[in-house]
Amino acid sequence: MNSIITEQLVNKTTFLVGNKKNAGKTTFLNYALTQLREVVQPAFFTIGIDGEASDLILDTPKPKVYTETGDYVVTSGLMINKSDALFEIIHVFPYKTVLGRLVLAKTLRSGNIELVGSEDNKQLAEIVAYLRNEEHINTIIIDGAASRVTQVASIKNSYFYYIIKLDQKSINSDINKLRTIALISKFRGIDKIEDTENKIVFEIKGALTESKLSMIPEDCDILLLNDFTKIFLDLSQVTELSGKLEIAYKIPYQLVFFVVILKDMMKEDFVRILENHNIEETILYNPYEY
Amino acid sequence: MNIKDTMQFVEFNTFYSEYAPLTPYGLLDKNKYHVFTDKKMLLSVYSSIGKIVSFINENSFESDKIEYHLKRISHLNTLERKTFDSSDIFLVKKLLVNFKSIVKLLNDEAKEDLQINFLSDELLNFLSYDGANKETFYLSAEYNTELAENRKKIAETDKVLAGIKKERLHEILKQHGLDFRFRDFIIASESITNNFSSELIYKEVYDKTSLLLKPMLPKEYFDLHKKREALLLEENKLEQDVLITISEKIIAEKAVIKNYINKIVLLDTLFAKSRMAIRYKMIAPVLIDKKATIEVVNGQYLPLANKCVRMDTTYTPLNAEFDNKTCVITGSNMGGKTVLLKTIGFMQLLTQMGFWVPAQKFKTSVFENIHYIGEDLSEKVEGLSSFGFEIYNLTNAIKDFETNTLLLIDEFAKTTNSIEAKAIIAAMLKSFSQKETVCSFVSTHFMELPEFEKVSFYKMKGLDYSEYKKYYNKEKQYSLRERIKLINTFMRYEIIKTDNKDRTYDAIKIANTLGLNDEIIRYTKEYLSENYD
Repeated sequence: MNSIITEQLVNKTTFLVGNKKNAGKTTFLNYALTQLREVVQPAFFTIGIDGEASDLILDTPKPKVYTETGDYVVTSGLMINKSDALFEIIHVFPYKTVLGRLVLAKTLRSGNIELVGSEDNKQLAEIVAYLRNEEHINTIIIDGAASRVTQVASIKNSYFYYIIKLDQKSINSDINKLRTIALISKFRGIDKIEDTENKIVFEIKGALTESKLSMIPEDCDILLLNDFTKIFLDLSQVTELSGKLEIAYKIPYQLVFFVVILKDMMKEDFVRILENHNIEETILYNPYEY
Repeated sequence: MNIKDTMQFVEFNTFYSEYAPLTPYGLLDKNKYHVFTDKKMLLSVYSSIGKIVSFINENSFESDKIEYHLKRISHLNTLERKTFDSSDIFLVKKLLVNFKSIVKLLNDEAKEDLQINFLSDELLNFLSYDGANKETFYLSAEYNTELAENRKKIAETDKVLAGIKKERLHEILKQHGLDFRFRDFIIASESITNNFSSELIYKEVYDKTSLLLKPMLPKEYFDLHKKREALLLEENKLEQDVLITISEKIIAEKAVIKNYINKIVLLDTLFAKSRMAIRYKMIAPVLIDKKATIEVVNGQYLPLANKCVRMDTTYTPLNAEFDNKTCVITGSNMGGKTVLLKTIGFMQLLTQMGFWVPAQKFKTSVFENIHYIGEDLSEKVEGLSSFGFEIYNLTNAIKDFETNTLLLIDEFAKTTNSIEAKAIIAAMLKSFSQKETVCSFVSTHFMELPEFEKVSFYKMKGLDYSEYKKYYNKEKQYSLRERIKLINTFMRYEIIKTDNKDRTYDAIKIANTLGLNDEIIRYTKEYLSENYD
């Protein structure tokens, strides 16, 4: 059992976010579930209807999600009917997808299941609230959409794994993305404005884009944003800005790990790149690697 | 009845947003904004609210439980289908379980009053092979012996498949040190894979330097897997048969279930209205003959009363017994004329939407139409001035005069020249007072309007200037908020009947209080003394 992953996931709501389509989120979900089942009965679901045809850990058709007896699954009624697993319906959510209403089901017999979820962040938050408050299910994994981290912001006190697929062809931009996420996920959260110790706070509601940089007053000490998903700047812009003032969030989130999937690249080469860029983040390498 | 303008005028949604049915059916009903004109039906609703209020007060545990069960009811997908799927059936079962619990918790009086009964024990038992009164549902093997046999075979097959796989993975681990117990595949450097047995490990290229390895399972495993596939196909067919059987049972009780849904709407909305009645100490309105006039005792216009509580200012409830159906309201600026109109409109909307009212008494009749005519609260109609909009609304309202109509007219024609405006208002009063079907409240600043039979004149008492002067400190710099609070403190928001000769000159005092400069005030007073007595 991979106790590091298990400890990080138990009793938490965790998003699996990828840097691009087919980064390996679903494959990682399957792996995480096998670890978790050793200690809890997890709940899992996805965001939206997964249009990704294949998974790049494998570069093969999209892996199915395997559910085992005792798991809780949120998907559409149609997918429940199509599955070779057997389910007990626990709740039907009032949200429709093109593949039917979303249901919460408990797995009575193991099998494969196709996941369908809501793309609406409000509905996502309501589903998580229902699982936590009504069914007292505390270990929840959400297979997030690729290239989007905004869903993470919809659930307070949630965690995320950033699954990043790196290959030689796009190594520079991928490393920059990794460094940006590493940097912006470190900024602190401010619960109350009193925590700012009389410093000058300037708040930007909504997204922080390049065009909004000129709005920030010269004498600003702290730039307050809702959460890290509101930063739409590249690495150099964030680095420059964070050198001038402190960036803080109303809602803090915790990056648990970067899960790095290497393609056409040796692990040793990647470690060297990390050292060159002073990246000290916790890196979890592809758990499917020998 | 189109009540959009009146609702906007009285800020009805600030109250309505607090009205919170708990079921999706109750919420749908809420969003329909029903306005009732059937007196008998309204009286029956008020009576039912009375019974539910008593029930809540006397049975707090049971009412909390009823609300718990109401919250658990979900909206059914549909009842208009030949075959339901598992989630459809789950929803029906959940509705039945919770409705049955609600009926159990109600006392006999409430059950009789609302004509609520649970008659579906047989159906519920049929849906409950997995445990009586459990909300969840699954297609139990208990429904069909063939299905039970089939699932037994699947379970046995799964067990054998798991055993074969476990044995093979153990063999691979022992022989090659590759652990596939938590992984379907492993990615490994090409260099270390040379000695792996092709009978145990399947290899394919992953990238330039690595291979993807999968455990090779024995032929026996795949043969058995094929058998499992066939069993699953058979299971699916048998499950469809069970679904058809269950669906037939549900369809047979479709009318009964639809009736339960109607009762859920009724109970849910009554509970929500009763909770509001308790929170705001409301009473049932008294519905009288259509020819009679309106009477209010301590009527509270809740959107303002609540605002006053938040602002820590005094709110004066409305006390008025109007002796005619055409009433003119005059008084100071900020004296409460508009609030009086809003109070009447608010109370009337509550009455006709089946709520109790926040008052000690509200005597009124049922109106087929309720019109607000005044400032345009919505988006301006292009090309139409404020006056034009008022005339347009008045013209529409007049079309409804055949049936009982309530008119709330706030400072009509204030944007046009005062001579013609006054003439039109006089004509309106004359016309309205001759119609038994029309009950109108007309607020205006125009004084000395002509008198007509069946038209009453009222004025808001206005600013208590002598008391105000004792308190006002000329030297102090008051903020706007303080000035408004000061006016609010010394404004007497009471309505008194006048003989239509009473003149009110509070505007200058109000302007002074709000900080208009002394020069303008002085010139105004000079002008008045030169031109009027």
